[in-house]
Amino acid sequence: MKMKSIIRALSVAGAVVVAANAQAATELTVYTAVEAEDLKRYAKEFNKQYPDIKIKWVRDSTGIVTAKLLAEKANPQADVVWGLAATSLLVLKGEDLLQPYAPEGLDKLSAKFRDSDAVPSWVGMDAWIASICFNTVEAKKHNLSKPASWQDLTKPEYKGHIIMPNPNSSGTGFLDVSSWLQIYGEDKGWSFMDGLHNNIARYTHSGSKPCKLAASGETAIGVSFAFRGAKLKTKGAPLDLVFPSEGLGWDMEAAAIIKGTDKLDAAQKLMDFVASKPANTLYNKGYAVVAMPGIAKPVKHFPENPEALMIDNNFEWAAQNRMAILKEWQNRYDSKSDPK
Amino acid sequence: MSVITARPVNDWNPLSLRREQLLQLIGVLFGIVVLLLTVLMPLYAILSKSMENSSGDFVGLDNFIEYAATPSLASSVTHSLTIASVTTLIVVTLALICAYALQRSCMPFRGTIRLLMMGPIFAPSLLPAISMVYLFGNQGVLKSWLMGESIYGPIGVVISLSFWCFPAALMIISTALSNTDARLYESARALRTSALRTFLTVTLPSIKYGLISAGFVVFTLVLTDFGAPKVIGGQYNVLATDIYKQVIGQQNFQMGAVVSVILLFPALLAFAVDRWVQRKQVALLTSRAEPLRPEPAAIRDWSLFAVCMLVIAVIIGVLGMAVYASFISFWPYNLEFTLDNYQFDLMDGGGWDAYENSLEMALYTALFGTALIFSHAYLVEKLAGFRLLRTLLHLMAMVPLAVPGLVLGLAYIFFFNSPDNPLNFLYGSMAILVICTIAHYYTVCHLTAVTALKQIDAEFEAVSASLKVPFYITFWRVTLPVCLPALLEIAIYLFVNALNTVSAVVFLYSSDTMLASISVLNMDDAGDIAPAAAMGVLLMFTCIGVKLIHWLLSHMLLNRTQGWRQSR
Amino acid sequence: MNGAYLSIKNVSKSFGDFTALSNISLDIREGEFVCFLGPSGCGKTTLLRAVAGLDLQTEGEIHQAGEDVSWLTPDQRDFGIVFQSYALFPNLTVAENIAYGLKNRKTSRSKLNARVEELLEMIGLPESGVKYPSQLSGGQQQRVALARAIATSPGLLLLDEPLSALDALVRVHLRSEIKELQRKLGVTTIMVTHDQEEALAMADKIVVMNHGVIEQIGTPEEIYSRPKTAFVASFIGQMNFLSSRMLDDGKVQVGGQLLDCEHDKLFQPDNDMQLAIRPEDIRVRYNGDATNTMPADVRHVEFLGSFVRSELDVDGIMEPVIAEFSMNDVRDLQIAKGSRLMLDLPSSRIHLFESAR
Repeated sequence: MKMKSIIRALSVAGAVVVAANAQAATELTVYTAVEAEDLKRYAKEFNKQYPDIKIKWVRDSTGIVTAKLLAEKANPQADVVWGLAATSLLVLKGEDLLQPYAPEGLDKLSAKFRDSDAVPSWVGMDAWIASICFNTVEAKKHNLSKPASWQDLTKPEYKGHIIMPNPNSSGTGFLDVSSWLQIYGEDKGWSFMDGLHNNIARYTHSGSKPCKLAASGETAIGVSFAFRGAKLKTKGAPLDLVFPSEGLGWDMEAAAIIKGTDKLDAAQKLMDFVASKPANTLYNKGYAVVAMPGIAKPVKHFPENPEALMIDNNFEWAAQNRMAILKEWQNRYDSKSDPK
Repeated sequence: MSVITARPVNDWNPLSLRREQLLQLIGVLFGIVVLLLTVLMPLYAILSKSMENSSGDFVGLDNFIEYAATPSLASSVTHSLTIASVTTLIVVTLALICAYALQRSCMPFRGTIRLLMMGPIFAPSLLPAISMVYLFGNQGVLKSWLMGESIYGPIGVVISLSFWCFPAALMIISTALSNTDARLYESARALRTSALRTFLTVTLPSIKYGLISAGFVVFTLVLTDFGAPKVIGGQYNVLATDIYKQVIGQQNFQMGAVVSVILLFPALLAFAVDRWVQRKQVALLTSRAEPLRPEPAAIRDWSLFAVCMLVIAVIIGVLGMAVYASFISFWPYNLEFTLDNYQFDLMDGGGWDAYENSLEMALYTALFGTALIFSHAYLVEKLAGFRLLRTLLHLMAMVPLAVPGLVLGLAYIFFFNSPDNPLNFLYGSMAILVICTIAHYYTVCHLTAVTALKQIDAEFEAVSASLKVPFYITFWRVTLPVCLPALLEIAIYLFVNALNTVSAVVFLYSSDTMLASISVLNMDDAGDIAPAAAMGVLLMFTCIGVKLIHWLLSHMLLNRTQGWRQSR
Repeated sequence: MNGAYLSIKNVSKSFGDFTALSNISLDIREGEFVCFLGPSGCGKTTLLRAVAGLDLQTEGEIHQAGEDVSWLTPDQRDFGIVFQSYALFPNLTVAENIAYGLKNRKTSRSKLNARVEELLEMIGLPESGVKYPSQLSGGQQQRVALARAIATSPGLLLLDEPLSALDALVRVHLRSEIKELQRKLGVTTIMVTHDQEEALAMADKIVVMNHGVIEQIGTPEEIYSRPKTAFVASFIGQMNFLSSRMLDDGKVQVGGQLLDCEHDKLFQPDNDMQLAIRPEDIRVRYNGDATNTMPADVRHVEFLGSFVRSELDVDGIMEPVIAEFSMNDVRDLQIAKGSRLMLDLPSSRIHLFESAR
């Protein structure tokens, strides 16, 4: 039997309290929502600089990682969060769960990509922008024209052909809703969503699923984010990515130290790396917009100049009004059992 | 003769015997503490959480009032009850026909048909739901059959859960049908009663309790299942998905607790009815009955055969579709055959580690669960003293049946992750998954063990006491070997359920202890439906394989060690 | 101490409101074979289990071999027990079953084997040591259970309805074997049974119980011929009960007849009572010594081989009276349906009981 199994066996039998720090090197517990296939690259690059610090990844979707951190509020298990939506980190900051720290080279990051406090509670990594995944095969079958703007999605011809994430469970869903409210203003924003709701086939729990459903022809149009769409398109899905003309909602992946960690030194080293140039180069592999200006090279299937399309997202506003927005959304749309 | 007439040598030590009683007392108390820690205290935690606001102050029923005032949430109650009722009706009707065909007809291949009908029990409830996507989704091969209706919603949930609950209902109703007295039918025939009247006046009353029991089992399964509505439910919210959404989506733990408490009520009701029925049924079975030997009747046999073939076609179709889809590279645009979907390490879902974890978890659950549950059942059933404590232990062992897995899982977060709890170190470990799973499936195993123990002679303990043999030696030398088949059955039940469970563990796994069943859920959630199907199929074949090994093993073991079972 | 091996003193047992045993006192001498006899629910098994320590009494004391064992657990007492269900361990061979209690006593292997052989011989199953219980017949299994119980040479042997699960023929055969074995070993034995025939055939002393109390203790002969209560009279053997009345002069009035009775009980004159007589005690052939005569018509005759049982209509009595006549009587007196007979109820054979409540 493997050593790991033996240790587990003992802990199951209740004979042994899980012995965490058996290794000589420092081990950081890092919570993340970054795609599984990217994590290995991140850790490898980090260990080139800091071979003594071992990263123990705890990976899950944005909603679950956030829920986990909140659930563990009284007794935090994580040392660092690396790769979680900034809106989530703002919630955590509001709960006083984050340890402010100014990493080396903080001044080189774009102002948008950091907490505005002098000693920031979090720093951004890359932006993750909304986009529409449009299945050309299904569109032809149902005779649908390609939408160019958000407003287009309310046209009657799309009725029952649009899938979007539920903002209550999906970070992508929330960034869509909060961006529409910021683009149109509250009143017009909600009336836009009323129109959109009429065309929605269903709301999914996850943010990437609408695009995957569009890719597999389950729906013609999936409201999702560019990163997922670009990946699927590369895989050969019959997709076109649409970047609506009104502007794109976005969120960033960001990193922070969890308050109360007993490995503060190692955690700070990790934060130094997060904000460094090599790290930003890594982020650029999948994301067209990264925290350090001048690093990003264009990414395939992304628009040429994504930053110009991004709205001026007010994260503080979104975080503060998050509960109210979600409640309103739920009252308007979630009760309708079978929206068609 | 000298040996016989010799007076006994009192070489036994009275002190050691008092130690024996102490040992029994410790055993019973241990059982009570275990169930207190793993079931009752977490339940208390969730109950008190449902009456707290987010900063932990007591607010009475405010949360419940808020719940009732949120239309989208309140409608879930109606939805849950609707799909549970419809599914129950469908499943019980179908299961009655099929069970009747198996028990009361002379149609061919009954053994094989029964075996195939058990198929759905080996897969997580997510698998039929995923299969629905491929069969009736927008790109589904049979989409036209729905005549424009969407599979994403109540229709999909009802079909998936009907499929998944069918074997349980079939087993219960089959048992009820096999217990009928043939003499009643002979009398009915002697009195020239018509077939229909015989069915209504003899068959139905004799299986009444079986039907009620099956109905409530299905009702509870549907009400508390989370996998199928999550995958195929679309916007059709039910209580089980609400808990998940409240907790995972909105980090609203209080509201999650509220929904959990609400979900407890119908489950408790079903539990109470089931207990009542079980008691009635025992009374019914005590009379001596002649086994019924059905006689061939061509029209009846072949029409029942046709129905059974239809049911089997559906079962094979649904499972086969999932298997097929798991080997397709890009549905529906590229139907090339591929193994890529089984490369779990490239997906966001925990990879092959999740599968290994699941096997490990299921193994520990079967091992420790069987040992724990059986020894507790032994203490309850076979001890002479501590009557009150034993009754208490038995009552506590019945509680988990009324607690949906999702509720138990959430309760575990509240209870075990509280920093004041000295058991806090369990949180996030493999151990907590094992503990939760054992607790979740405790009652059924407990009842199996108690039934097996009841069947062996009640006086073994008295005899060994008179022979001055300590109870634990008799337990080891006699009780355990005699109950071996029941032990294997419990172990396999725990294993299969531990492998397939989603609801009890979805709140408790950590990245180190990602499970295969959860990864099916998460991959489907992320839109990776084919890999989700692949993992589900893998789980199903694992369960079938393990069942096969169990069958071989028990045959070998029975032949080797249980020669005494053959009668003269 | 009164010299009894087992002494039960004022034992009571109740389950909630239900009184299973009420103030039972009983002495059993060493080597005695005692039967607890009574209908189901009379408390006989409860009393046996109290003696074994399997179900402790609520009140009272039990002394065994001069030692107070009242509150000891079963394994602290000295007894062997055999149950109706045999309770043989199904997964152990016959030899292993018999050796079960010996193994725990650190007996040497050769001694143990010799003892098992000896016991197998004793119960008449010398070749069956390697068999499993399920391969034996019911009677054989019960013999094995007996061997297991006596293997450790206990001072007290308890038999809980040991023959009830067996076929009639096996039962008769086995009961003499058990009795024989008990005599040979001289082990004090208590057997619980509801079968009066079994009790009469086997016991040195019968304890008749009903509703948690002892109705009578005595030898089989005493119990049969001198029942102390109407219950004992009716439970053991057959008995005619006739409602009657005690007159001032000590005679008893039954129907229109006045009868002389020998009795040691004191009955108030002018009292309703029950007169009881066994069917075989009613005479029809006498030589002028008849004192208690009653005329009767034969209503029905049932041929039972060596004797007949007849149902009689006695003048002035509503209830039918059952009498048993030898075949000689039947032939000589030409007893048949419709015959008129003059019955004699010998005064020494008449029992009197309080009228039923």
